[in-house]
Amino acid sequence: MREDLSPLVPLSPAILHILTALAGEERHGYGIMQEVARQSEGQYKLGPGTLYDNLQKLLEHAVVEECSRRSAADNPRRSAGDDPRRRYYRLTAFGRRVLLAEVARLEGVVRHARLRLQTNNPRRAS
Amino acid sequence: MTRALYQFLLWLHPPFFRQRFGEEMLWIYDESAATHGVLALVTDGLASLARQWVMRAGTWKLAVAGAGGLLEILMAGFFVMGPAPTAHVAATQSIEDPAQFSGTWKGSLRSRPIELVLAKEGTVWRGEIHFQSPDGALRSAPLEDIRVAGDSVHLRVQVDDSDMTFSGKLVPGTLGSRLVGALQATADASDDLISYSTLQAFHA
Repeated sequence: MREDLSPLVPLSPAILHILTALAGEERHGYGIMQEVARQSEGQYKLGPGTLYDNLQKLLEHAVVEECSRRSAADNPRRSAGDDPRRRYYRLTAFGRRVLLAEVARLEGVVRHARLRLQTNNPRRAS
Repeated sequence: MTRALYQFLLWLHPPFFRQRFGEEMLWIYDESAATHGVLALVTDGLASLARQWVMRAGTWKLAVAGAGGLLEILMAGFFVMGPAPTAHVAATQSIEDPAQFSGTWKGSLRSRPIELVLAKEGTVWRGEIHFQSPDGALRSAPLEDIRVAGDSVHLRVQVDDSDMTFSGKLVPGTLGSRLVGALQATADASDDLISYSTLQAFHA
């Protein structure tokens, strides 16, 4: 049975960036912000308000989950001096499917746009 | 100073959000104020505050519902009390001779204005109900079974499948008497009871 992803897809730019940042590994909030800035080469900067507003929504829809303390302790990237205020988040299996669906949708948009640009290319027409 | 301002912004967020993410947001502020810029963080905090209260908390729905309810009460009050006591009211006698009064009782039913016009012609009471139907049309129907005994007034009116009854009392006032009472209507299909306690002056 096909999952109904329509309440979530298409994703907003902020959510797309957050999910992409979490696709590789679990991260804390500040780590997500830094990864988003890195991915977008500094073009998209996420503030903490925007980040947690969207994380709240993603947690509610079980797209993202908070890592358990045990799982967090196993994370090699964490140090003993980790700030206790840090919480780590990761994509759920459902979240991964949401991201895949969005990527497929975007690929379709890009393919369509390329096709249109090629057919309407004035140099090709002349 | 700016950290205190940011903390205050976080404190203004809805309690659930603040408890869940407040500490993390403050930690990020501590980490990134120097690189992101305080102004950007505060602006982002303000936007988050607006989003949380307007979009997420549902408080606006309560506020709109409350405002709607208040408006309905005010509108009903306007129709109940009437814009001016002399506009629709004419009385021939005061409470000293209640059997001879005439006038208009105004109320509302489901926020739509409703009027009962009563007058005595010789020894017979006559009257009409004027109201606005759900499609907005103004309609009238004769009042039936009008009984006035002492200071009590009872009557019945049939509109389509709705049976309405009115019970009221004449109350003495300095400028004349007032008819205070309630109209009860049994709606046709849903069979629910609509009732309003309302009053209207019968001024001399």
